[in-house]
Amino acid sequence: MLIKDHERMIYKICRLYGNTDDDRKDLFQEIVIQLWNAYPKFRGESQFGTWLYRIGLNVAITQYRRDKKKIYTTDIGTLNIELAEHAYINLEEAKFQSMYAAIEQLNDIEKAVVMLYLEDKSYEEMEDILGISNGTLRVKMNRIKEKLRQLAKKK
Amino acid sequence: MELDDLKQDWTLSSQKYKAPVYKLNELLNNKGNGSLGKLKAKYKKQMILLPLVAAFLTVAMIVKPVLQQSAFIWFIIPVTLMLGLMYYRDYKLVEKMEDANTRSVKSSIQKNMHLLQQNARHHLIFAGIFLAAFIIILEATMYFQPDKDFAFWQTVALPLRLIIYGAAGFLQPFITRYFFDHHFGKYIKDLQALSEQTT
Repeated sequence: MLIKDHERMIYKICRLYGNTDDDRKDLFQEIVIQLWNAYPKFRGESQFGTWLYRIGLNVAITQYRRDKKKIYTTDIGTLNIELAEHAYINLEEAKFQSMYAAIEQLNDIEKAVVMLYLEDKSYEEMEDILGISNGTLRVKMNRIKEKLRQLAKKK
Repeated sequence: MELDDLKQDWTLSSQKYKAPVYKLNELLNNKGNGSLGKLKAKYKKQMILLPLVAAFLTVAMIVKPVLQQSAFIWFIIPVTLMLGLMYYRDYKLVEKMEDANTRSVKSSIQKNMHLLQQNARHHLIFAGIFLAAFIIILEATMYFQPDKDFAFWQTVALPLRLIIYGAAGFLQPFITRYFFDHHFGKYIKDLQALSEQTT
C-alpha cells in the first residue's frame, strides 16, 4: 500500500536513470523488491519519503548500472514532447527538452542532486539521502547549474 | 533557461509519465534483473547444487560400496563441498551489499567498496587453502589407492610434481585475482568512480 502511494516517486528515479522503457521497468521492479526487503528495517527515524529516495537512489546508482557506452534509441512516445495541431513545438517546450537533455549528460550523483533539487528537498534532506555534507552540496549545486547552462547553450 | 525554471515542468511532466502496469505480488515473485540480483541468483544456484552433488555421491557410495574404492569420488566430494562453501560466502557478500541500501548513497558506496576489498583478500586466502587441500587430497588418494583413477599423475616423477605444485602456488594469486576481477572488477571500478563523484 505504501509503495502504491509513493510509486510516482519511484517513477521519477526510473525516469532519470533508465535509458529505455525496458530499463525503466526493470529498475522499477528492482527498487520495489529492495523496498519490500528493506521495509521491516524501517524504524521511522526519517520520513518515509526520505527513506524511499535513499533506497531508490541506492538501487539506481550502485546496483542497477547499465553499460553507458551503449547507444540508446529513445522511443518517441516516451519523450515529453506534445506536438501542437500544426506540428509546432513552442519555444518553451524546446527549452525544457534541451534542459532535460543536459541533465541526461550529468554523472549519476549530479543527477541525484538535481532530482532532489527539482523535488524541492532542503539541503538537510539531501544530506540525509545522499550522505554528502550540506556545504559540499551547495558548492556542487552551483557547479551543476553552471554546467547545465553551458550544456543547454550547446544544444 | 535555468534549473529553477524546470521545477514546475518536472512536477507536471512527472504526473503525465505513464505508470507501468504491474501487479505488486507478481513483481515481488520475479527475480531481480539488476547486476547484484543476477549475481545473487547465480551464487544461490551454485551453493545449493554443489552440496547436492556431494550428498548424491555420498549416498551412492553407501548404496554401492564398490564405489568406495574409487579415488576420484573421495577426491571430488571435499572439492565440491569447498566450492559450495566459497559460493555461499559470495552469496552472503552480495546480500550484505544489498543490505547497505538503507544507508545514505555515499555510505552505501563506501560500505560496498569496503566489503568487496575485504572479500578480495578473503578470496586470496581461501584459494590458497583450497589449493593446498587439493594437493594434499590428490597426493593422499594416490598414496592410499595407487593404480586407481590418478595412475597417470602418479607416473609423473615426484620432483616434477612438486615443481608443478609450486608453479600452481605461484600462479594462484594471479588466477584468483583474475576471476575476482571478472566477477566484481567492473563493479569495483564503478564504485570507485561514484565515490569520486560524491566529493
